[in-house]
Amino acid sequence: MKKLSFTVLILFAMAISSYAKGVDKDYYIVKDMRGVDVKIPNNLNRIATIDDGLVESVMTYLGVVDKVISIGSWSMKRRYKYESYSSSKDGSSKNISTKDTANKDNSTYLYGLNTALTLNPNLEDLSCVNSPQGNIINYETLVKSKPELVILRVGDCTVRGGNQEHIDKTIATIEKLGLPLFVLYSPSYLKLSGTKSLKDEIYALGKVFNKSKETALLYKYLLSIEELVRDRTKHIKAKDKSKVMYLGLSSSALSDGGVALVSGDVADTYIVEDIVNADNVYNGSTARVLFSAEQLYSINPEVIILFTSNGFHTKDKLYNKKDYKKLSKLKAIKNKRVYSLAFNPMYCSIRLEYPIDMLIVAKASYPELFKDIKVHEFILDFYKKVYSVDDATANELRSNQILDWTVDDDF
Amino acid sequence: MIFKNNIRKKFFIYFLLILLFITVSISLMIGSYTVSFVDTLSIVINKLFSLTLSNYSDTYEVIVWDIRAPRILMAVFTGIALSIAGVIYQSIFRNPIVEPYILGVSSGAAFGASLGIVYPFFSVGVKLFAFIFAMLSLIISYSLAYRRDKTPIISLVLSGIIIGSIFTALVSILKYVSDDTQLREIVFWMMGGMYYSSWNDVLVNGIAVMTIFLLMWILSWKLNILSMGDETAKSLGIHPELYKAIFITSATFITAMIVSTVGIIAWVGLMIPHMARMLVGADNRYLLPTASLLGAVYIVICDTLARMVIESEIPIGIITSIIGAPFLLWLLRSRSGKVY
Repeated sequence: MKKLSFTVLILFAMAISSYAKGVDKDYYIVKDMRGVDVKIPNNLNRIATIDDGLVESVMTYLGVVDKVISIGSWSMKRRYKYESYSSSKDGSSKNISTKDTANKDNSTYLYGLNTALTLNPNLEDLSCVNSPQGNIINYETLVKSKPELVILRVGDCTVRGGNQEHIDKTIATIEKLGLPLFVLYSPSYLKLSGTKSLKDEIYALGKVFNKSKETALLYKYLLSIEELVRDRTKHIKAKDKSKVMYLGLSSSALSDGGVALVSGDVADTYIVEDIVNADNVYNGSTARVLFSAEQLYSINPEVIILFTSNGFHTKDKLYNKKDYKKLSKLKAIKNKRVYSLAFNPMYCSIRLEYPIDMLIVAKASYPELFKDIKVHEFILDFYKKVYSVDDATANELRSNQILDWTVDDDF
Repeated sequence: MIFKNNIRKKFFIYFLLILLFITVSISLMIGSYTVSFVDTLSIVINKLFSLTLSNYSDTYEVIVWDIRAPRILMAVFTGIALSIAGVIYQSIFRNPIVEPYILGVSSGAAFGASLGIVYPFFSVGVKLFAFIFAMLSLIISYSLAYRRDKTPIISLVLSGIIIGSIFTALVSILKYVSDDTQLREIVFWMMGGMYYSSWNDVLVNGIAVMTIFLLMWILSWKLNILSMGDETAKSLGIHPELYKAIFITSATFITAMIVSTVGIIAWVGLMIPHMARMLVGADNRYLLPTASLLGAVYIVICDTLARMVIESEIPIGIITSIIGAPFLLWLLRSRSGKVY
């Protein structure tokens, strides 16, 4: 009897342990950037993303983007259209990328698309769980999409990092709904300069998809571009540094009585000063500060970098539009040293394409040091390496990031 | 005739009470995620009376009880608070275009919230900071206007405008020193909305709003007398300064509470009192409950539309403005300017 009882006990224990093993096989655990253990289903097929494109870009690189079933940013559903102000009288500007018909104001149109949308046109058809301006998650739409995992990037325009109460409430609500939540902290949320936290984000995503080796390679590649720029500019002495200014030509700046918005936040300053070794002449650690023409003249930058600011802006706008005529004597404008960064809609924190912007700033600041590098070729190479796309798609990506001016200028 | 009139007014109040119940019930049942009527009812009954009518999933419970219910109730209290504040201000100031933000409450709250966002390390929380500065704006406005035991209405309005503009300028300075994330957060806070309402917010605001409502309702006959002017009030044995202070402080207090929780929601405090006055006249004994119920129904409808119009969500301020602005225009035209 004792033997029988013992045998039954052993069999029972074996059954329990095999059941437990079976359960274990259903998922694996990955620590997110909060330090929370998140259960990732082995057969992960339905992912809801709440970010402005970084997660989708990394997922594209890893070849798993088809698992996204709902998104959190309208920037991946929109096709943006902006006016460009060409210099040629017939309106057929040579310094614009994609163009439409010219209008009476001598302007043509530019079309921009989020990189993640260009790579994955089907994102446009997915439901979006956020409001168009971001920061308002519709939890019901999120649950309705039945995700097996929610990936949330805090500090993006989707869930901004400025109000901790709101962030805590968002995280608590998603978890209460019983949805496995994987949280990434963006550099802007952590208020970190540099790309260290971007590395952490990329690595964390690699672990989620069991592709750590691939993400390590991706980051290594991104870092190699940083190193390339650093190596070429590290010898520049303080007195020889280019004076660079980030400028946003948002129309609201004009209506508010200024002329442009100046940015000096940590990410911009890091690229200009720590990598490119130039001077960010407005290093106010704040972003989007309204400047008058007089204030701009008092700083008089040698190089102007135009960033996406309530729309995409070209150098032609600064050179030709009547509103900016009073800036014509600025060193950067007089010497035609105005350059546009890539089109980045809903840009609250750096994304995977930051090396492109970095190289534009580097070559704009020190053209002689980078004369052997054709940025327009580098851009295509970058897309091909990161997204494994063919020539046609790489060209399309460059056009949709409104970077064809680099081709026209042989930059 | 007066008796008949009062019955009509009471009828409106009961009708609005039923309408509010229906609106809240429908709003609780609809959303982008489908939860059946039976499940919604079961969840509410289970939560309120611990009775189980049917089995439902945990997800349904979170959606109905933790996501929809707090924001709907917050919408109810927001509507009540801003509407009664509007009625009180319009009566005391004897001015039809006065709204609850006239004494700089919204600017003070915006400054407090911005301070909390830009300097989180010494802030006690964005909401509490917003409330403290909203009340501070009232205290300063009142102190500036108070002279020789009197608070002339015109001085109060002017000091309110001054304080409001000072706080607005201070918000601009904070925007100047904020980083990109903080700047976007400030702009978002100022748009207002119930998205982040919690049961704790409902409890705190609910107690404050309902207590003030009852107090104001009990004192509504004195508000009637005050609205005739200080001299008339004095001749009828009412201390105008004391009651003005009670009414204005109470109205500002609930406005500050609400603004610090849900941000600045436009039009309600201006539009709803006019609408209620069209229904029941200017007698505050009827006007206060009518306006508060009407305001609650209005905000619940606007908030439900805000989360239903598109698959995601749009800020409630857009809906209140789209409906509010044309309504006021219609009111002005249809009544040849006699809106008060």
